[in-house]
Amino acid sequence: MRKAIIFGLVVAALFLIACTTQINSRPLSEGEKLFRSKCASCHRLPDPVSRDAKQWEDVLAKHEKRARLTPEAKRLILTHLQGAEN
Amino acid sequence: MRNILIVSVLFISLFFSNSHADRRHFVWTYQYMTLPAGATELEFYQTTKISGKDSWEYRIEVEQGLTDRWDFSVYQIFSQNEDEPFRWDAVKFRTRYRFGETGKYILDPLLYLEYDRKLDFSDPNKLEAKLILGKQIDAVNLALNPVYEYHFAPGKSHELGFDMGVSYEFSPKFIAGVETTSRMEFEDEETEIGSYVGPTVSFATGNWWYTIGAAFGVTKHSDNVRVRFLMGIGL
Repeated sequence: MRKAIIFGLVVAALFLIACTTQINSRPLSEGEKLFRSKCASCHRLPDPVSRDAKQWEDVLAKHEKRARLTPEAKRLILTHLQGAEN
Repeated sequence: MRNILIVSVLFISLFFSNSHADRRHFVWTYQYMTLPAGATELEFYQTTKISGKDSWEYRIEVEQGLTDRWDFSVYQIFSQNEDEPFRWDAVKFRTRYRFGETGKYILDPLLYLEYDRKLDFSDPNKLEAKLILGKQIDAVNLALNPVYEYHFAPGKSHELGFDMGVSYEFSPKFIAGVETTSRMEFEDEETEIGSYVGPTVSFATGNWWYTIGAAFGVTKHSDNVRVRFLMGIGL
C-alpha cells in the first residue's frame, strides 16, 4: 500500500510539473495550433523557415489528403508557415 | 478462425487507402499523440509471449479522432495459449485526451483511460489509467507512461508500473528506439515484478505503418521474451 501511495504522489507531481510549466506562454495562432496538432501525428515538426512559400504550398498539397486538412485548415497552416519565413 | 481474422483485416484494408495514420514509435509505450478529428484508423496487434508455455494475443482496434485532442477506440482481443484453442478473449474501450499542443509544456501531458471486459466471466475485468508524458527534441522522442491497473469482478488486485521509451527519427519513414516496461502486481499480500527491455523499429509508407519490438525479460517473474508487431492503416 505504501508503494502505491508513493507511486501516486510521484505521478501527481509529474502531472503538475507537466501541466503548469509552459515553455512558451505566447498565444498560438490557429494556424500554428493546427500545424502542431496535424503534422506531429506522423513525424516531428519541420522548421517553418526550412522552406520557402512555394515549397510549403507543394508540401501541403502532398499532405492535405493524408492529414485530412480542410481548405480552411490548409490556408491557416500555410499562413503560419509562410509568416515564419518573413 | 485465426486465419479468417487475418484475411478479414487485410481484405478491409484494401478498400480504404486514403487518409491519416496515428503512427506508434513503440509497441508498449505510448508517445504524446492522439488521432486528429474526423480521422479513423484500423490497427492490428500481434503479441507473442515466450516462456514456459508460449501464448499469442491478437487485437483489432478501430480508432476514431473525436477532436484534435481527444480520441476513442474499441478493441476486439483474441488469444491462444499453448495446448489451448484460439478464443475471443475480451472487448476493450479506450480514450485519450491531450492537454495541449506539442511543445507547449516542459513535458507534454496526455491522459489515457481504458476498460477491459473479459468475455469469460470467471476472468477479472480491468480498469487502466496512464499518464502519458512526452518530449520531442529535434529527432529524439522521449515518452514516459506511469500506469495503474485495477483488476476486479471476480477478485481484486492492483498493478503499478511504467513504460518508457526513447526513439530517433532517421526519416519520416523510419524510426528506431529502445523501450522498457515494468509492472508490479499486488495480490494476496504478494508482490511480483515483471520487467522488460528491448528495441523497436517503425516503418511508414503511404497510409500504412508498421512497428515491431522485442522485449527481453530481466526479472524473475518476467516471460523470457515478448515480441509485438503493430500494423496501422488509415481508413
